[in-house]
Amino acid sequence: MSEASTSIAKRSARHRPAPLTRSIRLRDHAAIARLGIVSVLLGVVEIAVWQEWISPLFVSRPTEVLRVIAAGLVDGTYPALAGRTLFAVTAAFVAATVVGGTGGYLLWRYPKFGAAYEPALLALFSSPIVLAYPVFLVVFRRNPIIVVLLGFLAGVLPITILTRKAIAAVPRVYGDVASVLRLTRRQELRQVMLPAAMPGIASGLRLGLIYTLLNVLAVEFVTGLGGLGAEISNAYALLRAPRMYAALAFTQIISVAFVYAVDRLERSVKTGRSRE
Amino acid sequence: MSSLQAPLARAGTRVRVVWGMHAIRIVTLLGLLSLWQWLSTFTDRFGEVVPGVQRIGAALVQLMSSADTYGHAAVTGKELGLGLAIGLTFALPAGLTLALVPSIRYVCEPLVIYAGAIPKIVLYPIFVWFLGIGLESKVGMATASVAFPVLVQTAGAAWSIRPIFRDVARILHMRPLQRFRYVYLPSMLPDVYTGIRLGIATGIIGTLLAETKASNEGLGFLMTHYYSTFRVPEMYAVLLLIFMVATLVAFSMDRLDRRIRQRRGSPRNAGVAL
Repeated sequence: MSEASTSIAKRSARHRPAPLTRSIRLRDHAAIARLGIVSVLLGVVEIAVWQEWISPLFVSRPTEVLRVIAAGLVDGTYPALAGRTLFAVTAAFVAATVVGGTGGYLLWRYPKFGAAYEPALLALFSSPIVLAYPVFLVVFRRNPIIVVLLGFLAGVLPITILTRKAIAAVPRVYGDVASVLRLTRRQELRQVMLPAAMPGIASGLRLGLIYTLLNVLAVEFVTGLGGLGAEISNAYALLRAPRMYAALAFTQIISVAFVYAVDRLERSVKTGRSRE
Repeated sequence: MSSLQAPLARAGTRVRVVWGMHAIRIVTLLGLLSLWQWLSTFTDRFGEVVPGVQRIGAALVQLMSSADTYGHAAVTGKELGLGLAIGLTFALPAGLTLALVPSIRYVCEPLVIYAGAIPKIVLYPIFVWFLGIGLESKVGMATASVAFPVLVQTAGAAWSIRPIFRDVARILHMRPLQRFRYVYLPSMLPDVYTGIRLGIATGIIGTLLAETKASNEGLGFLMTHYYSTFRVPEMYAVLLLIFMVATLVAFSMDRLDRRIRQRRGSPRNAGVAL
């Protein structure tokens, strides 16, 4: 009896796929299905434009868009545009991290000010800052610094708010231990508070980075200054559909890669913390 | 007597803290206004790029008393309202399907999330080409801006259904509609509402940005009209008005969100709770 049950168990174990293999297979199937959906959609558009069911003046064939992207990559147009956009994002994000991180820490360090300014910060965060671009155009004229400044403003608010929240959420006992060990204020910040608050700070940085990217692209589009967003705007103004769709597709690819990388980075920070 | 003194002392401390916070806010506001006024006089020689506080205030009063402003505000409101209605009609059922049918969710969720990785305003040319420069393209823009956060948040709301609720529904042999009505919907409501709140916020931005890009009416158009005719105080006044309305809407929606979550006892998502 026991022999029979053992053999049944062995057989079922042999036939039942291991959970990891099953999840990988499921992931593969889902990826294939996604690829299928995107391919079918692009195929439908290709045929619809080719047969002129949709005017080629307004929609370009996906193969034509691919050709424009390939040409743009070869002659260096798209790398240069992407470089300009990513430079603006980097400059804005670095400034937002320095100002927002310091601001968040100071607002935690001086709780009266933190409590007093919190509603104003939240109000500013929920207000459509990007709409202030005409003000910047008036002050700075048509200078690409506007793109960086508005990107900075979009990023600095979530970073400040979430840094303050993350440090405030560190258990009080950590601070008590630091004072028992007679750590200086700088040592306490570097060796106790910052590592403990890192997952929350990472969430703020992620949110700040994504807001910076979205605002930089939006400001580039509405002002016609800078990289990829400006290219979409210029192609639209000149009624060059293939160029516009190519710039849109390239922007989408860059944004997806960017968001994916940021998500992976945040996850690795949080996984690293939980392993510790 | 001592039992009375302790709460009184606590109340006194609370009053001092509240007054301290108000004092900080008032001093900061006065400081910012003085800085603005100083900048205004300092930049006067470069042209009127930073008008004085009184001039902006006067422009705001004039703007608020003009019937024309309310006409533009009504157009923006109409575009946003229609966009909201169409966006919700599409995004809520689509989000619920994503949330409740695991196979569709597994396949489509990354597509939806990554489709939302670009600012919707860059899609505006497509709306203009297909729907023209009038109201329709702005409604399309508002629809796209509203639909994405609602869709993503509704799809993500499936995580807020506690497994024990699903088990109880199964044990009670509830029919699919009963499960949806009595188990899934109440559990998902706070997250769905958060999606609607975010959708309205992004809808406001999408509509107004579209109006600034290519339009002939609406508050966004009014702002760019003042910009292009270099009527700077009026431009600041429109911007101030937009900020005040947007912040008011965001705060009232946030309060309602808080109330719904308190009633349901569900925690707020850190990213969304900002």
